[in-house]
Amino acid sequence: MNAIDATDRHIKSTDGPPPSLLAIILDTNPHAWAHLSSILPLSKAVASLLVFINAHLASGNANEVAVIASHSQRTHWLYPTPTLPTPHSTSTSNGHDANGTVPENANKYRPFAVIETAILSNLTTLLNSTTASSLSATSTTQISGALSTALSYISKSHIRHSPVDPTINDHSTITTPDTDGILGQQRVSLTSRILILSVSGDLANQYIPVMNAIFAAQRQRIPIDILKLAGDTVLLQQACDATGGIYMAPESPQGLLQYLMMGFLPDATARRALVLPSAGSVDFRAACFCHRKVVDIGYVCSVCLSIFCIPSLPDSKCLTCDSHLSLSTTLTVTPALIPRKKKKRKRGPGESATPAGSSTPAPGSGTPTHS
Amino acid sequence: MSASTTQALEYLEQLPGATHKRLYQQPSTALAVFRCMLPHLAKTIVMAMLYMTGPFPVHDLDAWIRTDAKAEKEKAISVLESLNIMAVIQESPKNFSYRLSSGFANSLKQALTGGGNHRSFGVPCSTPDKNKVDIAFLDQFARKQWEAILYYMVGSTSGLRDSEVLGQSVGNGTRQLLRMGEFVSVLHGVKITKTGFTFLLQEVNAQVWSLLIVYLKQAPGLGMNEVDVLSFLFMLGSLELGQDYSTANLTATQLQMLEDLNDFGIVYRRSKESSRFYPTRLATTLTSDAGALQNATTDFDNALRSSRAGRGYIIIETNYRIYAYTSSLLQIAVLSLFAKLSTRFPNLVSGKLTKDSIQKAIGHGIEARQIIDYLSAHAHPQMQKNNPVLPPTVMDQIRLWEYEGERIDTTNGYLMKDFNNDSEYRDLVNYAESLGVLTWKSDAKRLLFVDRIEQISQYLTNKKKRPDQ
Amino acid sequence: MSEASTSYKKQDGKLLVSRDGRTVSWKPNAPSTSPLTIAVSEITNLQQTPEKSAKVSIKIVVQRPSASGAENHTFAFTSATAARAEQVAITSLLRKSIEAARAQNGSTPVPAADDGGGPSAAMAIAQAVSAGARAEDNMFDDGRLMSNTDLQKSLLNANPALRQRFDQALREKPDTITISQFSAQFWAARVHLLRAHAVEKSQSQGTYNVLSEVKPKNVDGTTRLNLSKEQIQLIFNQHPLVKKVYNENVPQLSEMEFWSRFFVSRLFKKLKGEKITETDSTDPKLDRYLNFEEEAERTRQLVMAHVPHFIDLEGNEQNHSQRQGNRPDWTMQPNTNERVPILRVLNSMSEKMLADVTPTDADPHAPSGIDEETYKELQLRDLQRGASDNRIMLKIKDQGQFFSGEQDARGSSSASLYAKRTPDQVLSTIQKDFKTISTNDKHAGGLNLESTIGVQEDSDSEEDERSKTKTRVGSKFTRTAATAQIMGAIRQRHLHTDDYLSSSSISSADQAAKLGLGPTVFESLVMTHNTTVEFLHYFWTVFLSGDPDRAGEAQKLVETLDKSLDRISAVAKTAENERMQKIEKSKKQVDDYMQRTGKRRKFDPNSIKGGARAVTDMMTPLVLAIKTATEKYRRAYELQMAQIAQLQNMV
Repeated sequence: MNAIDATDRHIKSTDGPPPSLLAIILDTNPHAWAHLSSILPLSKAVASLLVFINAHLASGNANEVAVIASHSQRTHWLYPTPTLPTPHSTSTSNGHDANGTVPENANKYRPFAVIETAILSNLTTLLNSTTASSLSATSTTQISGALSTALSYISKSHIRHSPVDPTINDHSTITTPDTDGILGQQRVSLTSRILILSVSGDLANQYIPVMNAIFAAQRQRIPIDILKLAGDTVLLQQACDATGGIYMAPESPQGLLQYLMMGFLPDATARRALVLPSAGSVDFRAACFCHRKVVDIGYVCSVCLSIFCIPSLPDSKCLTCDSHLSLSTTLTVTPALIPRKKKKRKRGPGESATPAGSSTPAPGSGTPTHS
Repeated sequence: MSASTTQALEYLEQLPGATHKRLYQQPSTALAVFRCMLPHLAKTIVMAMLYMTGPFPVHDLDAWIRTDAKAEKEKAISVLESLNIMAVIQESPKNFSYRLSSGFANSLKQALTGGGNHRSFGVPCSTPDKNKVDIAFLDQFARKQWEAILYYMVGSTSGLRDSEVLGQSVGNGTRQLLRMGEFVSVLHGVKITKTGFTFLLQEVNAQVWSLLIVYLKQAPGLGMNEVDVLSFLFMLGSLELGQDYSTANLTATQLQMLEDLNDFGIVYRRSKESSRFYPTRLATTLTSDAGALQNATTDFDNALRSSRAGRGYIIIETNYRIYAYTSSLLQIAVLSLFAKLSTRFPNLVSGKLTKDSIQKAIGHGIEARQIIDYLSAHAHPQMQKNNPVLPPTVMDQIRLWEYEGERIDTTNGYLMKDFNNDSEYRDLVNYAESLGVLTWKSDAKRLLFVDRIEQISQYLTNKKKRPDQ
Repeated sequence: MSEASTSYKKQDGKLLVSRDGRTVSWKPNAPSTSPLTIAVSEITNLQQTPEKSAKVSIKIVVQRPSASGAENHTFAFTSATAARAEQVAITSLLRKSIEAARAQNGSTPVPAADDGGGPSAAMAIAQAVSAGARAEDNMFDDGRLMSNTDLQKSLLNANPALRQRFDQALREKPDTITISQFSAQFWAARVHLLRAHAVEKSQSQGTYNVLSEVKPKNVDGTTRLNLSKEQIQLIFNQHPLVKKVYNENVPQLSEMEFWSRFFVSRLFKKLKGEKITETDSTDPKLDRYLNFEEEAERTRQLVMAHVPHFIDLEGNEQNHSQRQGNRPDWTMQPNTNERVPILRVLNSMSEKMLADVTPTDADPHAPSGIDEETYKELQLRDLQRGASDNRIMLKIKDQGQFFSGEQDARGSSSASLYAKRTPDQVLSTIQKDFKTISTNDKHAGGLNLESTIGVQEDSDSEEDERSKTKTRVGSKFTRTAATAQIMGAIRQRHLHTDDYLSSSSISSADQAAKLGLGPTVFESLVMTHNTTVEFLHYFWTVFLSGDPDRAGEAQKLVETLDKSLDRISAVAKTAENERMQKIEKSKKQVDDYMQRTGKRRKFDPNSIKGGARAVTDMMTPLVLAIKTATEKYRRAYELQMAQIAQLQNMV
């Protein structure tokens, strides 16, 4: 009974789960929201999101949240409000002072009110600054930019949270990103995840940057959760699958709040104890680099692994890396060969009057009766 | 949930259901209970159920939670049930569901949405304070008051002359409270007790709670309303540091409390007649746990411990030498409880952990675990980089020194025997094990010993009701 | 340039290619050595040092009509600055000349010489250089593996699962496909298995340390030996001394006696490397050989054919003795120290055993002692700096520019959806909607979230307002739906993970039971699935091969695939029958129960799982695959028929 066991040496310096950082990317594509307005107006969605954020903050005392709007042509911070670098003030991460006064309300928990005010005012600024001309240029959203922003914010937060106080020795913290993997294994000081509330389709043209962001997230073990209210699914589903996030496309978007509270609230610590909802079948198709089309079968550059949907590349060179890539000589033959060769084949027996092809009355069309 | 709030939870759990109900009427209380009393998984369950339209069927919950997290689930549910937040209801002969207590659910919803008109998150003063105080002042005030209490306790033992003087400023009410909580015994001067040592080695947050719980227990005797006291404490936890709040909405009990809390350094009031009060950092972190305190953005510890290096100041080498970068008398006094200090420099004391020093501490009633916890919680940032934080040899040795003195371990609890059959016995053993209350069992004799009985008896009653399970 | 300064046999000189490209000649700078002239037509091979190597030289292999063997001439380029350039120039010139000479002669087959000499000559050289390595690889060539029926048979014997599948597929194959075609198809998909098997088979066991294997048994006080002929052979091989002792003694002693005495003798212990103690029995005859140095052995060891310089201790000792400076190294010096005989014995044992094995990792025909090799060998590789980067630099271009004009709002799928609104409308809709919450902001206390999220627990009366609540945000109905969807997804995950777990741990019978199928039905289902997949495989190989001769095959395969559909439905039928029986049985039970107790128990036939549904559920992907295959085939077929018709019309 009195054995000294090496296993209980690992005394946790902090009881309870590590704080969790939730980075929310709100797809604010006006086209899509206008389209959705009869089912789920943006205002209601934002309100549900605010309740969800409050629930997240309540779930852990040191929990943090970051909200980024992925607008039609740019990304915009909703919370924390970025402080512009001024010569006097060193930029702080949570600059609630920057957005005017937070209304006093004895019925509201103050941290909730602060975030709510910041998000609403930033969102208002964003929508007011949107012009019709910028809308007509594109119908999709800047998801790749938002993902990168979220990832960089998360990694900054990780440094802030690392057990070594950054103010003590600046030099060691600067080098931490390299050794992040090792440090992260030792002691998890912060768990992060990204939630994308997506309404836009046509993300395939951002395939490459989004994929890069996904791989970065995968490496940092940051799950990307997707709540897909509208639009096609290919790319984001892969993001979930690759990073171990939750994917959900609500059948009744009006119940958004419940989806958020039950499906997306559990953080990494809670998820270890939960059975996560299945994403169903994942569409693993990739988008080609040349036309940004999602392809079933494509051609891959053997040097840089770029994907192309057509074999006829200009000068037989890979578009990305300029290596010689003669798809036209080798690969074009196979797919084009099927009909052509088959044609030859059918003609062959036809001419030589062998019994194979033409003597049998239409074997293809006859198959149903055969069975 | 953290160690600092465990005792608060234990206190809450033993309150009667009616008290719970009244407590949950305040959204701020519901939110605070949710935030700091519930295990992590329980929070997840509550949030999932909060906006659910109907009760949550038991089998759905079972499907949601992984089979290998059964222990966590049992723990979460037992806490939820003992706090009367969730209850099992029977919908049809075979269908059991969980349902949130409607009072709690409504209050929590209001807390999340900021709805209703309960004004439970503190009413800020509408007029600006002429003599507004800033956060630095509040921190200093809180530190001064709280450290005075600690000096008072540690004074006689540490042998430091100054500390006794510093402890003199502790108010009479507080002294009484410390005596009632058996942190000190006053026979021939103040003498710290076993509980007192435990108290000293805790995190500040846990210390505050320990003291407040003693306070709570005394409250009915002083004619104070327990529910009022508790909800006021929880409200304090949700206030904003540096903001002045009006006393207008407070009940008589709560006004009375303000005075005592002022003594502890939890709130600041300029005078007893002042119509406004400022919560200090001790108050605003009441419902936060250790994680929040270690958050790099708060300089809470900095403010409270007056140590220049920030959070941690202790370095221990594998040869048991200990270096503490501190000039705080209090910290030196605490260290001297279990270390043999030899040299003192302006910003550093050095010493050694010896068998004698550790066993002396153990003789005082300090546990090896507490020493290790204290050392690792206050380890220097350079030590924090190690995993484990402390050198394993040192940790093992401290434990071994403790074990030398105790060959017999006693646990108070309940022996369960005379089971009808083996399956019944196994079932209960498994349940007790998953709750973590099982201390001993004998399969051959079908006996088991548990240190807590409440959930077990609840479980047995439920089982009787549900013969199919 | 057709001249380069080179050294040949360590003499400096000039290498010249004549203007007409017929001869290569080398003239020494010092007149002491004789010049050399080679006719280009006699050159059979041309090798050059790789581009990165430190040495720059070419090797010309010449087959003179007069001589029987080939001559090698190695020329090292000595120019301090332009050695590499000269080498390139000379070799390319030589290549062209050789090419030209061959084309003229016509005697040597010229591989594809008609389309410009350059590349094919390069190929010829590349072939020449890599010829040695390729001979071995050929053993595992796809074609060879496919035609090696013995190998296939042995693989089938070794792998029962594969055999079962092979037999099954063979039985159900369409009649038109010959067995050889069938097996070719079958193996084409499993070349990797064949290759692995071939590699496995090509490995054989080597010799082993016999002496330690032979253990004399003590039965009834007499030692009994069990020595096989092979073992004796091996002992003689590994220990020539024993052979010598045997030869000198056996006529006097009987065979049996010799061996039994040998195995208890001190000599035996010595050979095994064990320590000889005082208590060991003596044997006058055999002990004579105890101090017999294995002189022959030693010399054989010492004059080992080729000691790599890197570990040549004797050589190193002479070259750079350690005795003066560092502490003399005694660990690897040969000595007669008998203190740890086992080490020496085992070492020499292993050495002997390895000597019998032909090395597989070195080219046996590689010349030894070539200067370059030695040079490389002597390099201390681990002290070297990292090799210079030999990567292909990726020149990544900004991907935004490719076909950039094509992708914009109008090209996309959702754009059509959005097109109903103009940007202005979009903007006003959104801003108007958003005002509802942002104007709220101005009131004291901020946004009223409670009303905005639309959750009203008490006012929702489900029944009368269903149509309205259905669409309202946050209504009970939608939240219930949300919960249901999440729970559904969680159950689905359970299904997946449970499936995944079961595949590894649960037996097929349990799996079948879970699905509500009988084990036999399940087995046949698995079988059908396997063979159908097999046929699909063949179909696609044939279909995509583009080989007109296999047209008939493809057609038959389509028929077979259609039959596979029948087979699946047959299995489904059996399963359904099985299920009906189960239902009957349950019904009967219920009836019995009612008769017995008078109470009625509810019975739901749907609660009996399995049957045709379970089968079709499982087989859906397969059926889909079959349908796709036949569909593709039919479409291509019709297309081609139409083309033929067109052609015929034209004729």
